[in-house]
Amino acid sequence: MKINKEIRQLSRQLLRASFTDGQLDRGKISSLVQSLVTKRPRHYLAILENYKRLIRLEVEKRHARIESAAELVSEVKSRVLGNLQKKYSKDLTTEFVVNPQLLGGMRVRIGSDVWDGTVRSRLERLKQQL
Amino acid sequence: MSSILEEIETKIAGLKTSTTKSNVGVVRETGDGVARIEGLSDVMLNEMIEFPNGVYGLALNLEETEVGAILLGDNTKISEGDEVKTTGKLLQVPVGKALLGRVVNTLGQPLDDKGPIKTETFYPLEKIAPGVIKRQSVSQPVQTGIMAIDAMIPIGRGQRELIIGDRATGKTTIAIDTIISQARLNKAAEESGRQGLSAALLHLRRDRAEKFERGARALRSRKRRCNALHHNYLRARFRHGDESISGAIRRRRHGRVVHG
Repeated sequence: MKINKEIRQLSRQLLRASFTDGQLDRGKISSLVQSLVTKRPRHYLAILENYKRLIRLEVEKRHARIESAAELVSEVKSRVLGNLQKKYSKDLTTEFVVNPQLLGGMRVRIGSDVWDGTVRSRLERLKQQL
Repeated sequence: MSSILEEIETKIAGLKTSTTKSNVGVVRETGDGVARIEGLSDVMLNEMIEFPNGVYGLALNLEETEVGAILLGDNTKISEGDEVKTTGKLLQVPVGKALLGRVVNTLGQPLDDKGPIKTETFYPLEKIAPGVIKRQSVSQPVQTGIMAIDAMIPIGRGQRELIIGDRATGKTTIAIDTIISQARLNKAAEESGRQGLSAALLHLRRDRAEKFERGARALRSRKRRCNALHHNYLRARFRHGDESISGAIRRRRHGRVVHG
């Protein structure tokens, strides 16, 4: 379905209404969705789809995916989490993933920011330079 | 003493394992040489974007949650879900004497198997041209080497020319002949110690052009077939005693348009 201006505006308004003190409010989101489903305004399905996408992007902005070559010790995990929360926001959710293809080091992705300190990326950079 | 050494060593190790920060996005859709990318929150307008497989793109359409980028390279290598990176560089090409006599693509990468182009200077591709007053005035003619053109049309060095013509009438031939003629002059100039320079910008999408041509031909033949079918239908109705059709058939035979 093609997203027109009206759909984009409405879904953006919904997104703006789903925050409390700069944080996503689960209760508000569910009540907004419920009211949309019961009222069924024009293009409500497309609005819901677009709203879902915007919420997903917002959630991703507050979610850190930490990849490492080996399982991290809980002490390191808590230190990483503490530093990330200091840099970003307190309500940061985390996900620790073990990816042996990284060879070594860590790769942190929050929204569209990536902090890459893996051996693999350094090798690839070296490959490009050579 | 050894503790100081250890401290220095750890500092060096810390420097070596430096972390790089980059801004990434994910390809949502691609087609017609354009990719729509989700993410890339720090991208700049006209910034070069790095796709996987060594393909680059140019960020042109910055929207709230998406970025529209044109692909400069093989678009068949890009697929949905690919991770792309910003480069922090505006679209730029290498410049310098190493470029002389080379054939390059849009990004200044060699297309002629003569090895990499080693230049130190890069110039942005999109740059505001110097004003009319700043520019040197036209003082020298350009010879195309084609007598009919040189005799009738004055062309000045530094001027732009537009070559218009029907297809397969030799527009490219004129341009290539001019380059050859200029190259001859340049060679003569080089021998006398000056440097001559010719550059050609070609946009060759023969496959696309042929496809387009085929499409147009198919459309024309389909239209003809439709007309023939419609004529047969009218004739059939006439044969089955529908007198009201006779006028329509007569009109068709005389080449007039019939609706219905």
